Amino acid sequence: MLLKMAFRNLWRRKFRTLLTALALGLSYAMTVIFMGLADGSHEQMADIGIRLKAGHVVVQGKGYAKKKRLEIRVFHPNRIDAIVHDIDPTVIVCHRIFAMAALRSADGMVRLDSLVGIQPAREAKISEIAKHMVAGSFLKPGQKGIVIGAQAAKRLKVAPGDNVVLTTSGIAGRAQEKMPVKGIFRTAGQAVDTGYAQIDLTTAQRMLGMDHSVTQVALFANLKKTRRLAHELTKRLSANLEILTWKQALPMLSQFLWLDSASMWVMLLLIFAIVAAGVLNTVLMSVMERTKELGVLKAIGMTPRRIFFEVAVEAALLGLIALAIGLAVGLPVNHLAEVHGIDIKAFTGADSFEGAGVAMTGKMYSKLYLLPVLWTSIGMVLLTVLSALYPGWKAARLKPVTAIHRT
Amino acid sequence: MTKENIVELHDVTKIYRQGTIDVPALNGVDLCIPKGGFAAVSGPSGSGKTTLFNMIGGLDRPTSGSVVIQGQDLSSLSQSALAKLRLFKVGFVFQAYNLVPVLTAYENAELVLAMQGMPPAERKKRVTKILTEVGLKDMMHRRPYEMSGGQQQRVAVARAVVAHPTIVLADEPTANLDSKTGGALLDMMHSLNEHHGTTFLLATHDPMVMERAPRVIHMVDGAIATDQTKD
Repeated sequence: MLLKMAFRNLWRRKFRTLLTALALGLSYAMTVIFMGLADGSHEQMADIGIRLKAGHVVVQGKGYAKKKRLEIRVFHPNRIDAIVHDIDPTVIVCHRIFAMAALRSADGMVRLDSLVGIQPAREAKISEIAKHMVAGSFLKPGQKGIVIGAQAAKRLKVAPGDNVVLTTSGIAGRAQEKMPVKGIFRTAGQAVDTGYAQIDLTTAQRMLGMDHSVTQVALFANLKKTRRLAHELTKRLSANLEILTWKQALPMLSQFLWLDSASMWVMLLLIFAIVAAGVLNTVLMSVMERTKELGVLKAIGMTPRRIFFEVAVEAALLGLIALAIGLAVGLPVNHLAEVHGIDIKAFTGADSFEGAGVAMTGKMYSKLYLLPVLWTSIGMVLLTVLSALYPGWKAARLKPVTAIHRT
Repeated sequence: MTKENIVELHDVTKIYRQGTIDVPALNGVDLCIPKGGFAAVSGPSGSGKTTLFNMIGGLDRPTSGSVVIQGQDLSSLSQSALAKLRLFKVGFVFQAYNLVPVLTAYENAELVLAMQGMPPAERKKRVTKILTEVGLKDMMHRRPYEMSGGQQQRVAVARAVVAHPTIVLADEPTANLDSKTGGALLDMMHSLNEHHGTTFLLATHDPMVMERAPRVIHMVDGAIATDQTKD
């Protein structure tokens, strides 16, 4: 009976109810769309960052994450391969060496923040660089040569086949070698396209005096497996190694993504606060208009608690109608963004979206998970009920003797 | 044999404060209503009829004195307990009908029983029976705006009596009705009084109501001036 009354009371003022539900519903639709786009784009960025600079899980010498010194290394990376294969044979394992270096040509000089020694055969399966080659080709196993970014190539005025001089500082001291440019990539990330280059791992080990050791063993699985994999490795590997998830290995990127999410939620919360004020206004008006009616209900024996509940049920129904509108609009739009993607240029006005040294180009794809949708749905209905607390309290406190004589 | 009193007012005074002025609405009213009684309370506007009804119905509390309904002193009851008392023991009929506009005639009458927690099957039996008795069997599923004033007031009476309350308080029930419709409503109330033993107390200006009531209590300036029981 209460539900019936609540629904009919809402329907009494169809236009007002629909307008409020529409405002609330469209805000929720926006939440669904933004949640999907944020999660989708963050996963894309995390994926790019992971492929370029780390792995879903990385194994390094203990203390390397803080000090970044070549002396802190993994001496027997092949042993880790075997352990990882035993835990999960689908995981791709890449050995890498990260170092600082400089590149010179006859026409210029470029400082490399990341000279990376890689295993081309393994890396080709996951490489972000291999996907973005714009000239020449990706490295081949054992091949002497370097792959550099488009910005670096431009500054050095070199093309595939030209020679550059690579200078770096290894464990045994300064090393310098002339090296042919094998390929040029463009990721749209300014920092990567200028200061990131790859050479074959054996060349890197030789130049840097690392023997068969590496600075990083990067493991590629998927985001869901990350924690379990890290946990298993922690149990099995030596205490002299540090096992980090991608969030620990790439703290800047992780913080950037967190901050981006947080700012989105703050914006959505502000929108919802404004909409909640609208709901409060609607429910309060509805209560004020029905003062006499509520007085009669109290006179015939409805308790204050039940009156309060009646108002709360009305608000909850309004929330449910808004939720239906929100999902009806938000989910299809989200589906389109998930299947076809949204051009980053149309969304941000720029060719790429860059943060913490990772750039995303082309299209961003939405990725919507059930759990956040569930929680925000509950949250939205709760918000409407919360907005009705004051009107409900006011209605419950009405004195029937005065309320029934209102005109 | 004397009948049991279901309503007793002892030296009830009610003073309203308007700004800095005290306005007395009831001045030491003593009144007893026996079970199954049918009484009209008359008097000019401002004589205290509505205030008296508010006291008996537990809608307001007296400044001094006591109101006792079936042995229960209302002054000791909380707001929730008063609501419960109104739900189970008092039926109200208002001058302006005051039906819930979003509910049908059937649902208006059913509401009280639903609030009492009565099972749906029992509610259906009771509501159908009472609406048939008040002559609204064919209008059960109409909303108040689809009914005339007289029909709405019949629904209000059905709502007031459906739960078999101790007393029905009707404040000017015929004021908005023509004499024919008002007469029919009175017939119905008398019939419910006779057949179900429902106690009625009617506040009225209507001479027809006063003429047909076996007991007429006349109020002036917040006090009972005369209390006449007809033979």
